[in-house]
Amino acid sequence: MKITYGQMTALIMLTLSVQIYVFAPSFMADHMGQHLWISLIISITISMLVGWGMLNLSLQFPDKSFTEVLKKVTGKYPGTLLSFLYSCYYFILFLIHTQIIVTMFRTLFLPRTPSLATLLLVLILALYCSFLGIEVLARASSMLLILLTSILLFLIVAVIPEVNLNHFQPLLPYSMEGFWSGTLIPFAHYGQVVVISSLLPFANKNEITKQPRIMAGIFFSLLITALIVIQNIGVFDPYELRRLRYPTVELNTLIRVGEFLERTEIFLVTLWAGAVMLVVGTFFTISWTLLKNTFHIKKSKRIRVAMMVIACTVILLFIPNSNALVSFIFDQWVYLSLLFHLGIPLTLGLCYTFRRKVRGHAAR
Amino acid sequence: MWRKRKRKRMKAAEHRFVSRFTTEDLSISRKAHTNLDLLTSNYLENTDDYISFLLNEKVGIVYIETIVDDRKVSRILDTLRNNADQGVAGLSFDYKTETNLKNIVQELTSGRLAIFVDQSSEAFIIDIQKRKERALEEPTAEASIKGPRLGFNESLKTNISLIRSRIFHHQLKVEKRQLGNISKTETALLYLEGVANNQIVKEVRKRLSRIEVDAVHSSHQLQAFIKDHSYSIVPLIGSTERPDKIAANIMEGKVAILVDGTPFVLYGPINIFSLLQAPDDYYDSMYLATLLRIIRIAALFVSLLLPATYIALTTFHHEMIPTDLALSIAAGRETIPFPALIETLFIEITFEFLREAGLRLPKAIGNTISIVGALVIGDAAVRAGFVSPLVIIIVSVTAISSFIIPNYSLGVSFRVLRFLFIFLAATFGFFGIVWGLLTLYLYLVSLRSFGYPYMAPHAPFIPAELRDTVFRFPLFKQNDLPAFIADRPALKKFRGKKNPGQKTEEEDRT
Amino acid sequence: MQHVRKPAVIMLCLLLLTACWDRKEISDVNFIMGMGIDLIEDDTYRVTFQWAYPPQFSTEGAASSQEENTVFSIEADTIPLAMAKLTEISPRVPIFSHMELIALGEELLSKNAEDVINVIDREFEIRRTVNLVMVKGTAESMLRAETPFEKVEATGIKEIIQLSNRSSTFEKVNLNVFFNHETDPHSLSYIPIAELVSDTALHTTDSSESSWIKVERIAFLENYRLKRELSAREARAWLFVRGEVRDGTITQINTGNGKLVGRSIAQSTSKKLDKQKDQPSLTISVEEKVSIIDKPLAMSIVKMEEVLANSVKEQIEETIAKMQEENLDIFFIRSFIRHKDRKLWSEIKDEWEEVYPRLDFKVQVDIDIQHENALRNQIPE
Repeated sequence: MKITYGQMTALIMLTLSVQIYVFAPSFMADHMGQHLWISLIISITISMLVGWGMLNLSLQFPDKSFTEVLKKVTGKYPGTLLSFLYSCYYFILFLIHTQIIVTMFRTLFLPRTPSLATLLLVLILALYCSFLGIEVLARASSMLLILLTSILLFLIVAVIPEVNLNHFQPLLPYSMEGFWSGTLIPFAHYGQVVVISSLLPFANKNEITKQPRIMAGIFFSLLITALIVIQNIGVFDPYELRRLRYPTVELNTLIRVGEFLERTEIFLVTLWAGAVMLVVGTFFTISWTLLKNTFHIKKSKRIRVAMMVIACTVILLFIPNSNALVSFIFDQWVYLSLLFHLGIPLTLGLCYTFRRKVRGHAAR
Repeated sequence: MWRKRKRKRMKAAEHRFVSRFTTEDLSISRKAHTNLDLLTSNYLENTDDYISFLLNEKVGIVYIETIVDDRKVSRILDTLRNNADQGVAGLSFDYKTETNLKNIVQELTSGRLAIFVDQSSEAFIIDIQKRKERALEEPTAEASIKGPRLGFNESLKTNISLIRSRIFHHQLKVEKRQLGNISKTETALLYLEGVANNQIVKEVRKRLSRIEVDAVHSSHQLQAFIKDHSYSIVPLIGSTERPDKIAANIMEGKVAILVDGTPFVLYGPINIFSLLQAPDDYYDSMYLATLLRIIRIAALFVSLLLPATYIALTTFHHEMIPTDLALSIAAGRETIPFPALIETLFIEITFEFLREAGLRLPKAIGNTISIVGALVIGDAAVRAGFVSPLVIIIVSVTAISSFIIPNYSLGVSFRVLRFLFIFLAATFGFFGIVWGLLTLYLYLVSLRSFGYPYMAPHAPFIPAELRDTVFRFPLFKQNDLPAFIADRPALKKFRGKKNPGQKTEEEDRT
Repeated sequence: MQHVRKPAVIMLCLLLLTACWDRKEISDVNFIMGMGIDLIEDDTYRVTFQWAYPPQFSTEGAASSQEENTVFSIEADTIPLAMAKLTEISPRVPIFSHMELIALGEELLSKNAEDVINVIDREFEIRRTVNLVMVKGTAESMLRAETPFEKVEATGIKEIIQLSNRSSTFEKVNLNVFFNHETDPHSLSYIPIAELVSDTALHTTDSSESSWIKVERIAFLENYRLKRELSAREARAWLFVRGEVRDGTITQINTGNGKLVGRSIAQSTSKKLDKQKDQPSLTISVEEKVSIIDKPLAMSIVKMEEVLANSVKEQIEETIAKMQEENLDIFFIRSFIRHKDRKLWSEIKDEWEEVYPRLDFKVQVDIDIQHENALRNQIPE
């Protein structure tokens, strides 16, 4: 069973629109103050370019899995290595997203529930997702994407009365202080567009590709999430924003629709959590697929369960609470992910052009 | 290890399989009376409704009197007596010949009459079956206000004729097949050739041929054998008593399976939204239909989630309840000794008792039960400080909404799932509910009905087909047949105009 | 797949059966509606909690409305300690998610409220939309006083602040607004002031009976410390400058030949920064739409507009002058300059104390009379 390009786009959009507004706004505000919109624009631009590149690169090799593409472009052993690295990359994304839900619920709503219980629930769901396969996830994603997007839009609209435009002034920065690290943060999130090349092999090749549409969809979700980050500045001024751990949740607490709809944050957060759980499942499935393709694994059930156990242990040992998670994301992952978001894609692009040139010469 | 054990179990089961007993194979003799004796001694001993006699020493007649038409029998006998020399040729009945006694017995048990003639190596079989049949009535489970009042009954023939009388076309194909090794129940596969997807028809045919059971009592039994996911919680094959519904589904390229002896006709492939449609949706204005469908979907969610939401709100997320309401709920629960979970479960289960009791009781006592139920649950439980008034409201709203779901089986599935959600909510609050919802959604998305995705126009998302799911667009807008199901989507064209009375500008000018 | 689902189901069942960790029955919960914090000695707080008594809110319980004591004060060294101590007397678990008001005692604010407010901020249960007031006298006395209609005083005060405010001498302040101003290093924060109404206003002869509460005026804080209370007139001027005068606000002016009474319909303000010869000047243009309720005989609309404008202008200029004298930046000029003119701001940032008193303010008031609500005919005598 293949998925359509529309479903693939929906899945990518979903993975892109669940995370950045959770922790990132306060760290970006810390670096850039109210000028974070500039870094957002820049990272969106770079991400779109990377996404476009990866999309076109993958389209050159129809019916080839990402592992095979890597092997074709860089050679057998480097390809295997890269494929394994990407599998680890998605596994880390899977861990991060899992822990985001778990810690958020633990800190905000279920303080006494042991995180192991919620963690197990999420992991079981991820395992179930991997058994269902990407096709089912892709089919389910469009509905969840619509739901999530409407939640985000609702949030944006509902909090507009609280926005103070003065917080954005002065609009343009006078120095480049903190600019570099400020741009890295959103790029660490938006760079996840590279997921496009892992999902493309599942798409139905008989369909006509609509690259602009795919890119437009991606751009839309980047834009919406960026708007939420920017709105955080408008509601809390940069000084206040730096203090907040979960700024967007706090944004939720400000929603007031009449007398009866005051405290909707748990509602919105759980709906969001639903979307994140699907993303968690997706990342796990992709990571698993890459691993399977890299090492040509046939029997899968036990290994997948073992991966779950590993995930559980890693989370409990290394990122057991939100502090550890945040310091991992913003002290290490931000730099590490650069390799996967920019380093390897650039190398791939260079290798591909180089190979094509060489082949062109040889043909002549 | 698992597989070995499974094989063993299969073998053991095969020995116990009733239909494996063998029937003796005998060809008929040239003497009529020998044949009668053979039949009586070898096959039909202890069968008191079996009639066999010799007519003027040359012609033997056998039939089973309880399933044949008496008048036809006497007509046959009359003819045979009067034109004794002509033999079977003088009969004004259609007949076929048979040489094997085993087959003849089979024919006899399905309501046929056999004539043995001396010096003939063949027996003549005449179909004179007559069975008791219920009159056609209005279907009780699926009432409609503006639709036709006719429902199927238990006879296969009548049921097929009801469908044929709605689609007068030779492309409507009827494929009969006997199922059940012992019961030999007639079933029929109906579809519109050229519209129905060939692959689906082939697949259904294959699945039907694979069935090996002793007896088929009802169409629902069949359903368990042919649905895509044997363990699915939700119904994957539709079933209805209404000929109009079946005819409409056949016109859309779906297949219908009729089983002799049940008024419920199976059809498929279906999606979950078709289970939320009632016939009246198509007999009434689009606005009403759309509103009703939205209400039904809301009811689906309410019947699934309302008690769970109540538990999550009152035991986990007090902050979400508006202050005044929270205080009044708290006041209502002041004297209740049980936690909200037990309280809700108690009332839910009591209600399920009532529902079952109401179903089984004779109609005359049914009213009494409802009064007792209303009094016991509604008032006394609250006054006794057993449950809080709000729980009564919650459970009754849930109950009402579960009756709104048009498809009974779907309602039942969601009733079962409701309890699961109650437990999830009691452990994890909203997190549990969302987890459950997502799992359920993914599960439903992964389901297929005859290979057709169960959540079809939503997942996979096919915007064009949403015209007939949650919304019902005017009929002239629903030009296309559903993707995947139909072979030739162009067939369903309404040559209608939007406002037939209105002149276009061009017409105006001329 | 069946093999995986089985253990999963078993695990789920175990999970479900073992515990409901965060379960709190709604009837086992003490809804804290308001909190008053006073400083009684150095480092000892007296925290007053007010909760709602559920039977008062049910339809059946209303009949037997016995007076229930729902206010309790605890003395403790820190706020968390006080919250913990509350559980010593409360048989139900206190939750703060429905809290509607935090009252801070005058004493506390005049010392330093930073610790207290930060503790409140860290508690996720307490929402960012909770209202803050400063209480003249002790916060405890206010929670023990009364508000008409409402059974819970905290709710009453919240409603006064949010719903019915037509006098325009204060602006509602919730935790979010407060923090947005407090965390900004170049801004003062403000909160409204609540007072007990004197007995004469109630016309009760027995003065020992409980008194009522009113909310009026505004207080300014710097670094969590009380800086200055505005008078009602100053507060009105301040609201004019912020463009936050509520509709329905009444203005009354005694002209030579009778009273002129106007009711505000809409009000807005814009500020403009000019710089001439390194001397920054600020233009404040106030616009107000007014409907006239009562007016002296034979006064033209133009004249009325002029009289009203002059009155408002006078009010504002007077307040500005006073604040410049006291060197108090209540109009948030600093952050305004910082937002508008980064360069100028970096020049004057360090010597703000000297710059502010010399700052040149221009006030323009534009009153627009929308209509005259002439319900009664005016008969010349």
